[in-house]
Amino acid sequence: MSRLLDIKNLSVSFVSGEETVRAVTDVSFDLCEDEVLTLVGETGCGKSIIAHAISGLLPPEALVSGEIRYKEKDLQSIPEEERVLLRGCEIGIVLQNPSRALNPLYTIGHQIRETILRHTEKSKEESHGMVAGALRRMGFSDPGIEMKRYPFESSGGMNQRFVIASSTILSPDLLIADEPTTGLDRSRIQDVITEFERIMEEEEMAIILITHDLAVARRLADRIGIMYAGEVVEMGDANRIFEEPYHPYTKGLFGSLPENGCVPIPGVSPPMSRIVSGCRFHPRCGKRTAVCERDHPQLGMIDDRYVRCHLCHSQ
Amino acid sequence: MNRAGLIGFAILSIFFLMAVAPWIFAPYDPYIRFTPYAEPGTDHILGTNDMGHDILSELIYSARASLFVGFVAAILATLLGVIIGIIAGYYRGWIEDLLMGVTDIFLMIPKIPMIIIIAAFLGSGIWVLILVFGAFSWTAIARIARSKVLQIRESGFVLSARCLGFSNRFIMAREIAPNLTHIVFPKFMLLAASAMITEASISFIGLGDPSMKSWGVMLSFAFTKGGLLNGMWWWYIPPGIAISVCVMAIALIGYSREKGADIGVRG
Repeated sequence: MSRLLDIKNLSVSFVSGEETVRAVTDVSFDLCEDEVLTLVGETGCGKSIIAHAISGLLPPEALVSGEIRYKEKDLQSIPEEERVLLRGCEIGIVLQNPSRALNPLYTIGHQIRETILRHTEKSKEESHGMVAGALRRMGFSDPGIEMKRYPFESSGGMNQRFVIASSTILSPDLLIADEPTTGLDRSRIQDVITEFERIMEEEEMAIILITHDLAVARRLADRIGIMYAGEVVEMGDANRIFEEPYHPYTKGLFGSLPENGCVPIPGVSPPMSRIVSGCRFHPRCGKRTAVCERDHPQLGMIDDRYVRCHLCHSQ
Repeated sequence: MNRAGLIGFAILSIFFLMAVAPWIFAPYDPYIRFTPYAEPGTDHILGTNDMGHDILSELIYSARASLFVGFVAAILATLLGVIIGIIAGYYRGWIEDLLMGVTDIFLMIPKIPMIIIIAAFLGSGIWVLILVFGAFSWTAIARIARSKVLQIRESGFVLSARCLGFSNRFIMAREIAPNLTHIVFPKFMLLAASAMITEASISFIGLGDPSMKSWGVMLSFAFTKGGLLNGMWWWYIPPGIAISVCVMAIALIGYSREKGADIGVRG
């Protein structure tokens, strides 16, 4: 499988007044075609920032360093118009909060069709047929009715599927889904997961899935990256990590799941404006040693995965 | 629309009909000359003026000019205001500072004195009035449009439109602008009413187009040609009532829509 996306040493920070908020520090990963990478972490750990950085949706005041290469193109240096055209056509993006992602004034069919008309030379009738086909594949037995509806006439789960439909209708090579299940109830989450599984099965699409729902991550991910305070702390094969997490934070995260006893990690994640010296997780880590407080650990390979922890490396 | 709005709508429709097809309502052509200064009677319900024109016919034919000035000036001001407001709210940064600075400057300029000065230089005329009113009345709309755009631009559908690769122009025109209708419409109606009053005032002080029939011009002649001194109430009261009722109708529609303006796009 060839490499689709290659991110090297990506850092994003925001300067507001005298404070510098380092939202993402030194994140590197790559993504093959047809691979599903899940980024997991607490709120505010910088996972959405990575999605926005790839899609070029960061506000202008964001300071971005590092390299984002998509199909051998450096996304940072290509002109803005080219980048705008990539979005929606080659790079599909699904954001959280589906009900707000649709314009309340237009019908579903109209909104999905606009995407096709924007990027292709297709006629209205052809695009109408494409939308109907996409909705039918998503399990709407009568797309004609759904297409005439307005967003407020449909449920959150349906809207999220419409958003996914409009992001994937042109079969992008890369789909970035930023918390696609947040704000939905259990059965709606199920719909969305089913939808992703169908895409993974039927289409050749690399997916970056950003979530804090570990169950969703476990269902869909080929590879998983655990993030803490703007850094990747553990990254590797999803099944292996779920079976046996190495990093104390990953262990804590899994331990806090209801099925694993619901044991929370003590403390709260540090504010991103004041970076903790040493290992960023050490104030909350039960196994910290002197070296954890002093030295910042590097991401290193252990067995089959990357881990950022002094303890794991010394064992 | 509530009941007040419906009443306003009904009254305004009648005025619009008068403006479009005055011959249906008017008993005579307003330029036919009869005996001047006739009192109201069976032939002339509202009498005749100094030129011998039938005042009722004149009143009905005047609706066209008054409504035309009101709505064209309001459309001009609204378009300017919405475009400036959307650009300022969408791009933010120095563009916003510049546009809103200009808005603040325009906000300070008093409209009617400005129109009087410009009419004195350029000569009076309906288009001067419309252009000057339009050029100086967009500020309120620009400000409310901008503040709403600041809110809408952060909403999910604008972000997802960007995600889907739509251009800024498309997003401003097709995603944001339609969502401003419910807050801009009441302002638009009030602007139309205000433009009509301005037209009447300017015409009244003699800076209007004297060859044109409008309520303001009628009032102006009623005063200058002795209608008031002679107590000819049928000459000067009806145009006053027509302006008031028409402005009230427009304002009623505007207010009735304003009440619904809170509903709409949230966050």
